[in-house]
Amino acid sequence: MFVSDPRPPDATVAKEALEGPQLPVWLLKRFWIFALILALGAVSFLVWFRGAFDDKGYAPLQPIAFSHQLHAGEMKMDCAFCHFNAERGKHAGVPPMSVCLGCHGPDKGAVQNKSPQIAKLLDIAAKGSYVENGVLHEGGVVHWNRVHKLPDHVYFSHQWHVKAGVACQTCHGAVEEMAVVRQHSTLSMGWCLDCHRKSNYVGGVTFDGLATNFTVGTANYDVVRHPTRTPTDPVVTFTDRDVAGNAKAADAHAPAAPAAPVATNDADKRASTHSAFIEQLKNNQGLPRWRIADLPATHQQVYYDLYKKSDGTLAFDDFSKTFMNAPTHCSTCHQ
Amino acid sequence: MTDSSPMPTPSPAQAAPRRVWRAPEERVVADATGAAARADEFAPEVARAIADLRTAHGHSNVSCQTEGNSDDAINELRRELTTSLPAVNRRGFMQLTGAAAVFALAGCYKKHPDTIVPYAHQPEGRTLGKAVYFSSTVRDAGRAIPVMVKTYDGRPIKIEGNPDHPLTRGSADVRTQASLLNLYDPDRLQDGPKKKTEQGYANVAWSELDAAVGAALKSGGRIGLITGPIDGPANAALISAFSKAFGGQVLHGVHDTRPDLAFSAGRGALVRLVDKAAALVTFGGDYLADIGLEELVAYGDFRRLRGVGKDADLGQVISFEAALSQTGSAADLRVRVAPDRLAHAAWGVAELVAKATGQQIPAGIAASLAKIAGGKALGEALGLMKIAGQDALGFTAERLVALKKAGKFSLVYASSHSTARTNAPLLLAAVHALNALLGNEGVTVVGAASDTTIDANAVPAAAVLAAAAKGELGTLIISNVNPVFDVPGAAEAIAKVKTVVVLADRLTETARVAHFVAPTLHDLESWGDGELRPGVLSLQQPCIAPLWDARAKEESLLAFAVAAGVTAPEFVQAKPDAKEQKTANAIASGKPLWIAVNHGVLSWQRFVQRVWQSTVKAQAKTVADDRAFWNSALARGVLVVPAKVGALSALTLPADVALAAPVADTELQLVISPSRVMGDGTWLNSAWLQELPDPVSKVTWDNYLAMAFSDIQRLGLAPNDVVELKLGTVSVKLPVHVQEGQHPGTLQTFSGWGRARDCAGEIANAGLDPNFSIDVKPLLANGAGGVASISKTGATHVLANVQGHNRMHGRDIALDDVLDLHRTDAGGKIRHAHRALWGTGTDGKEHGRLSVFGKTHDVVGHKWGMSVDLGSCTGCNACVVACNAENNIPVVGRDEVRRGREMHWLRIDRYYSSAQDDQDMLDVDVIQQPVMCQQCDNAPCEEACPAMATMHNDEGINVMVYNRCIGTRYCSNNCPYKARRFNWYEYGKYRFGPQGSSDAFGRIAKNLITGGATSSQAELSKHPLEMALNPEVTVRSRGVMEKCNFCLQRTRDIREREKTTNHAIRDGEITTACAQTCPTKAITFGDLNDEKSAVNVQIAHAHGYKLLDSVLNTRPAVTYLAKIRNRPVTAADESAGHGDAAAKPEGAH
Repeated sequence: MFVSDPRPPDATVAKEALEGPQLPVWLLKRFWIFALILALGAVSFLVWFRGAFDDKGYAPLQPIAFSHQLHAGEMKMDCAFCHFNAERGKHAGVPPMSVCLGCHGPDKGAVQNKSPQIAKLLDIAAKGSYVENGVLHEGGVVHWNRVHKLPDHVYFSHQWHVKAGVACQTCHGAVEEMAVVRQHSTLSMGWCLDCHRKSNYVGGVTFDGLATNFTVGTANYDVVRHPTRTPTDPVVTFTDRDVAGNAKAADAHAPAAPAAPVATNDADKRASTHSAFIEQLKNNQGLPRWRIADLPATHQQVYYDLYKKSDGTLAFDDFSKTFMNAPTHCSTCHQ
Repeated sequence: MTDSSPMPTPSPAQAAPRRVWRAPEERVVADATGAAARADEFAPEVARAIADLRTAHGHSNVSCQTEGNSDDAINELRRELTTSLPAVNRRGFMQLTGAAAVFALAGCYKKHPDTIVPYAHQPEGRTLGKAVYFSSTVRDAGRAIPVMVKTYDGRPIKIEGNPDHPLTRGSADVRTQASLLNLYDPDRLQDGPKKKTEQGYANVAWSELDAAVGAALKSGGRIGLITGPIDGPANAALISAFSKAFGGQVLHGVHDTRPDLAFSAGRGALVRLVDKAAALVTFGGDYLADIGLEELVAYGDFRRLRGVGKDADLGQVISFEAALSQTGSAADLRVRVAPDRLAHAAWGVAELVAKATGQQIPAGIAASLAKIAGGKALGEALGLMKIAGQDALGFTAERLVALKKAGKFSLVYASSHSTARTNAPLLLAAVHALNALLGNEGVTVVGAASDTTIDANAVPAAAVLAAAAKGELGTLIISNVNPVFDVPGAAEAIAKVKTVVVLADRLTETARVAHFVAPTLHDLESWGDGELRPGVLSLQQPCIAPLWDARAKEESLLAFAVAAGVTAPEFVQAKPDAKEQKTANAIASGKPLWIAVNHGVLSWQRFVQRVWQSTVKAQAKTVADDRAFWNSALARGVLVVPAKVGALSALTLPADVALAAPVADTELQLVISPSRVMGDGTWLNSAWLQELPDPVSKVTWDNYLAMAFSDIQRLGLAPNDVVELKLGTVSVKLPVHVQEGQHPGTLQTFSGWGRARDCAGEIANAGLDPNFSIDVKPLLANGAGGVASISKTGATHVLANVQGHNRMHGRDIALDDVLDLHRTDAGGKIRHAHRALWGTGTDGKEHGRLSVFGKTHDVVGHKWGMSVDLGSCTGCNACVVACNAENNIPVVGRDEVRRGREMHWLRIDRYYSSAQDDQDMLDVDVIQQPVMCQQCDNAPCEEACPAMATMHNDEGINVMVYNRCIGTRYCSNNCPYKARRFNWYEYGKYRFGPQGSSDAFGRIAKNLITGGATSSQAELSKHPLEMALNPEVTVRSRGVMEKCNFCLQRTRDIREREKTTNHAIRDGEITTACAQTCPTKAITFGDLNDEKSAVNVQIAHAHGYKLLDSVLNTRPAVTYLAKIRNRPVTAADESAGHGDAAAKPEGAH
């Protein structure tokens, strides 16, 4: 018995049977649409992928519209005037409220205190708390929105990088041009390593400065030696920088020879140093940062104790290059 | 997989595709070469390459095992494998799949907003991200422990001993370390004073409380005052001022729960100086668990091996006891005695010593001893073991007399717990008689009387309670002690007083019988002082503002007195000090804190300051002005002033007392000892302590009844059975634990457990079980001797024990040696047992230390290492708690411990060994061995990790990269030390415990939450346990492996200083948390590359060895020093093996 196939003969079916499944004819005719969708997808995926795992460009609005462009850019205030902690510890830190009030406080400079933002700042300080978006913020300080955040497991020290002469702008970008601070770098591990590969500083006192490569786990990195750095001295001495990160010329105000630390309770000596200091202040109106060497001897002693080297030798000549910054602004103690 | 499955024909073309699994068709293709190869399912290329090599180079002798291969063969094989393997290996594969997973998960990523809250005024000299240390004092059972408190942003995160203290030398004990968690305990009273009403407790204002208590004090009648031990000049001055203010109406009772207090036997406070002794003999009690921290430090000096070769020597410990104690486990010679025979044994030794020194013991006792001995040696009559073929009592007496003749001293110790209660006074009399006979009094046992500490009118708390019971007291103030829990019958006595005020940090059992409860501050929130030994003073200063609405207990006393109309200058501050007021208001910062100066009351801070600037300054004979003196004393925290050492009161021995005849061997005798971990039970709400293994039994989270194996068998019981324990008319139910070394017929359980529901807090509640009560205090009420009976209840309760294997089964793990053998051949036995197996191949030739690992870590610069002296380790666990605090180690709860999932990075293994014929493990040698990650140079874990999550850093430390870890646990499987711990849950986040667990561990969970805003003090106060976290250490997430890393963050901290100042650090500047806190200084940490470092000095000892190194070639950075036992050499000691070689099957119990 022969039963014919009820279906009409079809070229596609026949072709499929011979050559496997085929794309619909309409799609075959418009293959460029297919390609375009794929290409667009690939491009958008790549664009998304580049930024998916870091927070580069993150720029939250802040409770107080503080402008780095104004303070660091136009006013040319040094980064470390406010972020003094960067050269002392792991965290650069946000300045304490007393630093803001050092200039803007009604009993201090009262700078620009007609501005609504400054008025808000003073209000927070006076009332001791404020409500933003229905949330109570206590402590009489501004609760800033955090821009840069490293994962919990990352050990990063600002101090080492500042000491090594890395400019703030290297990682944070031209903050002095930012009205709203945004994250400039990816802060990813690859980004860290890229920089460390280019410099000769690989971390660890064990690095003798002569090695040509180093190992993290099983990954080997070649050392590209910095032309100006000597191999035997991996720690570079402090470099005074301007806001652009360039080394400044030697400061004309710097005293020729810093005074030796004098531990004394002698009231006369104290008075005379103090009056000399007042004179110095008068002569250097507008000094943004006080040099420790400019301080009265009794004040220097405090810093001498703080910065005393571990073997007990004096580190005092460093003081001509080290700055006493905002938390020890005169007004902090001498209210 | 099947070994015979053939491999495809190897050829360069086929080896090229980067594939890791075999395709199905490949499995059926026959191949002759492949059949012979040992194929690896995941990497057939390896087998193929080996087969290739064999055929190409004729390496028919090359096997896959390194042993027996020559250096050259291994190196060649390694080189060839490296070049011939295709590019995708196991790691590459993991990278690819990892990338795929990242694609899948990337869509979930979201930026988490966070806030930064700056200081209002940053304190001078304070640097963000740098810890600040404050000296202070914390108290454990009334002992003032001088500490350094590490604070971060104003939060105490770690407690360490004060290194300037001459007696504790930087050490801290278990409960001192754990008191940090107590500070942040959310179960503390948070909302101010309470008044008892008919409905329960109502909140009242501080002023209302003060007025009510003041009125009660004024209304006449005697005033009872119960406090803990009073020491420290300011504390003493406050009590005497308070007594004076009420004109002799005050009856001050001291409630002292220190377990070693019984040793004094009514002779006033005694100080034991074991470091001046050459031998320590204990009769019951538990010297190591009873004594204070400063005595434990002295014990370390006493037990440390001194000298080398023939001069080597160390103190000897001889321990007579019934239940295996911490002291017994550390002892050189341990003699089992039934609890009621301890007094007989002690008097027996005393009699022999008296005879040898031409003195007498009381005639009545001598007569009863002779009667019991019945002509035999007394030790034999009492059933004691022999030492070196000699009667144990005779041996001990001979040893003590020999020391006396050589002009040396000894120390004899006993405590009334762990003996039959009726015999306790006679036992203590025997011990004091022995010390007197041996001339130890005034040398190793001295009086502790001091001008500053003793309140001459103080009576024991029992006298105050007795007065209360007679209705003689109008008002009773109980300050920071818990007599209702500690003393049976105290509640009834207190109930007879008209006004009862309890100063407590939570609603304790005592607070629940009070009319008023005044919340107190933690030691780290308040001022004070202490005096650990006469003349050795320490100051206590707050390291954090009060977390909640509470007030220092001393300030409460001042306020009550002022409210009662006292106008003495010690109490009143007439003119408010503006500066002080401002500071106090700033500290309160919106919280409803009671501020003394606002109420005309002298603040406790000012009180302490005045006492120190007047009395103490005069004692110190300093020329500094008041301010300088105060500041320097605060900064240092410790001040030593000249003090009179009190004379010992005269010893009166009972004249005509007869010793009772021993109880029959068939009777069960119960001894109740203070818990070795929990102490008096004050700390029961500490999760750290709950999860801490008992130093001897290694049981966590529970109280238990310890029994000998033979008793369990005899009574038809099984371990973990809940039994009803009956003593007289009182009975409690307890789970049974088999204790090696326990004298048959002895039952032991522990007090300090079983606080009433909600009286200690949520964690302590988790220890309560409806099936049984773990509070054995009711038994203490029954004075009727120690003979108890037990019966089966049918219920079982599985004890959470962290150690599964108690014996070494002949393996060389924790090694020991005998002093005499050590003197002649210091490394002998150990070298013999630990011959360098790895150095010799199976071909019998020396190949040095061949290794399958491609690299060894020869570190330049620092290489960190550690030594652990098993001889001075007492197993006290201080290192474990220090490690918990330092490294944010989570508490997992009883159920998880039962599953073997405890997270402690550092554990203390305790092994028993015994003579081969001692099947019941009665006369056991015990050894305690702290085990942390050994930081192997040839780390097996590193080779197993597919994700490179564990690797060596440039200082020889095997580090974990948590965010690379994908949780395969290969590393843990490959670790021969079980040093690695896996996060089965996000212990920081789960609220109700793991699945299937009924324990509510929300509290522990809160301990480790780091997310969310932590911007203000007020917010933090709601989740206080977060504040105890060390911000320098990552909190690990679920699915991540973790382990000890030699406190990497501490290394980093100092290294940061080294780098910034460009000056090398000194030896000892960096130390780990465990080494820092160890009271006996058994752990030493330092730089192995620094030839002069202390750790290198330790490692150089001939009796040092590396754990399992000889068999596994792991090259650990930790060196153990074998325990040297100071006892006569036995035949078993001289044979190379351990007595434990023919071990009893582990399943026997």
